[in-house]
Amino acid sequence: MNKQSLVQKSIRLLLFLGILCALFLTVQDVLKKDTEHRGSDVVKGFYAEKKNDMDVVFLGSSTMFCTVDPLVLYENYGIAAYDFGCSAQAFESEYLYLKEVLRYQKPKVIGLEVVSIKKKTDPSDLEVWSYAMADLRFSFDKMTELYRMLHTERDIYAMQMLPILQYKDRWKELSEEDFADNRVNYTKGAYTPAKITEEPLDFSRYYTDEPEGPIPEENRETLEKIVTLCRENGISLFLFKGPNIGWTVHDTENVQELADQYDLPFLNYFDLLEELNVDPVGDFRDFSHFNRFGSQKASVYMGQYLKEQYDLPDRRAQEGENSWDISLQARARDRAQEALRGAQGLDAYLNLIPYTGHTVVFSFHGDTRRLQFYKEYLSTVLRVPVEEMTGNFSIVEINGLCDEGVIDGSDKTVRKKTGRGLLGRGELEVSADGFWWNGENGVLAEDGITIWVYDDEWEQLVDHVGFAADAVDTAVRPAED
Amino acid sequence: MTGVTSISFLLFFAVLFLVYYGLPGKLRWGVLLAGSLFFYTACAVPYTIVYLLASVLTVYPAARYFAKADEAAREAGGSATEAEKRKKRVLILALAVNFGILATLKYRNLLFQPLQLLGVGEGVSLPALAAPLGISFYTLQITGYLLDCYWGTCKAEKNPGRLLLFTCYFPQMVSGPISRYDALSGTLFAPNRFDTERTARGVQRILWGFFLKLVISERLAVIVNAVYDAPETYTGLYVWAAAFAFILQLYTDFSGCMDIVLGVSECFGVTLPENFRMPFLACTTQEFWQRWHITLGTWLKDYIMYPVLKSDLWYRMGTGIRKRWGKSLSRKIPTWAGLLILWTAMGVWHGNDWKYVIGEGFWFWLLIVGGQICAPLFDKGIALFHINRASWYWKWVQRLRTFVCFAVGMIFFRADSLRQSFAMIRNGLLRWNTAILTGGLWELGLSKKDGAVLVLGLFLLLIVSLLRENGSMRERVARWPLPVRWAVWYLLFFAVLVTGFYGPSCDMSGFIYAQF
Amino acid sequence: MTREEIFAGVNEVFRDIFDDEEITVGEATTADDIEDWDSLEHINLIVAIEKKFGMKFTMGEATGMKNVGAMVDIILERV
Repeated sequence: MNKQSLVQKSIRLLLFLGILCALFLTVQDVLKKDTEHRGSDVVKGFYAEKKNDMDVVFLGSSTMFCTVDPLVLYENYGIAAYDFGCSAQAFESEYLYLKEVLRYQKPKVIGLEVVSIKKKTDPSDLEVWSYAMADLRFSFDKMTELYRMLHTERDIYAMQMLPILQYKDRWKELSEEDFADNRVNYTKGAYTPAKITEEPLDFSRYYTDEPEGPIPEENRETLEKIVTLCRENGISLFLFKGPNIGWTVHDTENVQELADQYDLPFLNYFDLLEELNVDPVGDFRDFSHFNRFGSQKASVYMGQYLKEQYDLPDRRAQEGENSWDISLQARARDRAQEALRGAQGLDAYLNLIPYTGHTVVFSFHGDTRRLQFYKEYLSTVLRVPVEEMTGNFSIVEINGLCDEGVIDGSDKTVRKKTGRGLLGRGELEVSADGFWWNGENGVLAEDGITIWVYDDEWEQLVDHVGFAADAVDTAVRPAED
Repeated sequence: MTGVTSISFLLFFAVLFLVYYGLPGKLRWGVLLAGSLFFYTACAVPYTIVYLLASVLTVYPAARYFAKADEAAREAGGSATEAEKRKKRVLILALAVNFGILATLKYRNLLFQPLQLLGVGEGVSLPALAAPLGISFYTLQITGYLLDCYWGTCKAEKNPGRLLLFTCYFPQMVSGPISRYDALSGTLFAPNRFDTERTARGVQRILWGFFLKLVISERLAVIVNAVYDAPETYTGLYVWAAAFAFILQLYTDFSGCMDIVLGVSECFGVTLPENFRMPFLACTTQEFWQRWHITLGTWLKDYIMYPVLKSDLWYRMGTGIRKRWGKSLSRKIPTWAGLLILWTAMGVWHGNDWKYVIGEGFWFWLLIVGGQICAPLFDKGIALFHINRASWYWKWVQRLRTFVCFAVGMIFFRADSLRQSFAMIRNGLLRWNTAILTGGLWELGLSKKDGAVLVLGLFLLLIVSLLRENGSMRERVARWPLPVRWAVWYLLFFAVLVTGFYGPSCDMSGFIYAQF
Repeated sequence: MTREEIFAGVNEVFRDIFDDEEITVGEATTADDIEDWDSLEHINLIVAIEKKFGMKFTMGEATGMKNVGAMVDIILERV
């Protein structure tokens, strides 16, 4: 009787603790906020990928994910890669990251960008540590490796193991966003904005800048551990260096020494600046990161390099759609939306509007004579004969709210709640008088046409623009907050 | 370790718990002793343990001497005045050593401040001497044992290790409670068996303590600190708001600490005495102090006031007064004099500053004695207004009155000095400032959402307090169906975890009474 | 002295201390039974009893007595 009771009690206790843990993780998840720089999206995106699907994984910090773009590798060479690194990530943490990669993937090649190899680990920057660590799943490796690196800053260590400690005050500002699910990272970890730097980069400094010192001991040890781990798992490892101001030829020599010691290839983009015709202004977004155009050049070269050095399958030949195919589609969608936002004149704009998978609202105000023109345009779009477009319509909403597209001036009011998104989430309300977005009047041209474009799949506002009838080449957008 | 709400303390407790029940019963009190000594060295300047050992080393032989002397006297029979005299000398020596250490380390300012008023040592401040952890508590506790042995109500402990454990038992070291030897030794030294129910109760109590401290007390502290840091700005109603907030803060802080400490002790099967019994439900100041910091009050009563009132001097005082001023006064005046001594001691104990003597001592003496003197007047007033003494609303009027009186006393506790205390009371009474009612409350550093949590917390505390008048709250919860019970503990846990003020984003002020 | 005599004496003291001629104490009378018998009056009671019977309670006895009956037992021993 006693023993049974003991067993019963133990089971009850375990159940109690189990539910407590589950609740704890849920509450923690809700309270946790995505980091602003590359961090949460990279890590969460990594976990969202299918297991054992990647052939190449790149490790490193921002220089890595701004230099090499997995989508460029895929579309040109069929290489399935992921950029698994976060902003300002400490070199010492790469060993932990490699271990994490091996828990979910079986890559054939690992490319390690070495910009942070010359920096000593700084345990005191909470924000930077949370980029790389807060979203990393719990494991004994995480517990012990992080402790090794952060034991002098127990508070920061505690907050990386239990992010709830950092974010618990957010209960005051919770929003719908926090209850949403994980997102797939369509860029596969890369960050390639089209922005162009204001100041040209002076690469002569690569040769003239003063050397800073030898590679710190803990980073050497980390590299050795990485090399060993790769060897044990039959993974080919190579080092590479993206171009940035701050790295010098002395640093290259130090790294080359290490590379020789461990018999690793070292791909140094500083040696390729001429060959790739790198533009010191147009290819960079700031003094240490490639932009989209520079990344394109660097990635094409990287792909060629990988193809020649390693035996990697061409995944484009694979049956069915893989996640890189989907990513390319997403990128196309994203670029289309970007182009749309860049269009200035009404004509160009109307041709660029993506209709599939989007909700588009046209709102006409002012001189009704212009309506004829718009009627004709829309009839082509909607494939409805002009004669059948009856009524004195002023609002047309396509792909979503109304039954077939045209409101004929009646009082029909429709409400729609939309989800979270990068550019906007909120409520759209459409009626014969106009439309309201998040309670604010959406009409941007009192005498002209206002267009509102929303991505249904990604649940985000793509663009909201108005063209005045007497200035159809000037796009008017809502003022930034 | 920063205090009993720190992670280190919880880890320490968890490890000690496992070791305690892991080892065989005979060794268990030894585990507590080892743990307590370790706790001491981790929390206080290690060499100061010398003072604690000095206390034990004087009391241990003294108590055994009393036991032997008493036995010898019983065998010899007849009067034993010589033995009594010797006992008394030993007692006085032991008390002198213990209270001497206490006075020198903690109460030097009390002598120094008046001297400063007379112009001596102007502008000089005495350097602080490192004092042992909890000296104000353990000194009372061990001298209580000494006196009990002197009076023969307690058997002298033969094992010095046990006496040491009694003195340095770690849950008590931070803020008490002050235990009696015969009450505590039963469970402290026993090979307590592991009991799931008891452990669960203990953990529940610890959780409740955390709630009081981290969710309620720390929020109140924001308001209190804002006002006391800028007393010239925050006059009028601010003073009273801060005064009321402070006693609530002090209550949730201190009783929360007691909940944690008693809960920890309960997990080891050791029963510590309660220090609070819903004090704000008291109807008079006298009743209040039987419900607030109970163990201190009873210690002062049993070991100082009773012996004083029972002494020959007091008896002579009584008969002297009876001859001149009649029977009634002959009983009242000695009692009041005895009370004055008790309250002075109470004030002195609270701190190394005359503000405590006035605010935590003299003020309450005044209230109690004044209440007795004015009793006939009050009776007339109550009859005049036809107030029904038994009605519930009169009860709450009394409670409110007691609450306000206590709040005034505690202004002295919280203010920096005697001067600032009076200044604040003056500001509160004479300077008209109702800004706090028109939004000023939200400019003290507490957001509206935090304010809402605070109010909810206080409301919950009120409900629980009222329910507890009719039996233990934990027992009550234990009778509820399982899903409801678990939901209660989960909610409480997450309330502390999410809304508690702790971590690097908060300024952990530690426990207020831990400075003693 | 007999137990009854002691009880009579004790009763007198009670009536005097509490100013109430109606009080009659028995073996089981405790502080709960008499309204004004609080911790302050208790010690006055003790002192008065000591003077009446010419004996002394120890501190332990003074605080440890359970009821009047126990008090009388002690008085019986000392007187």
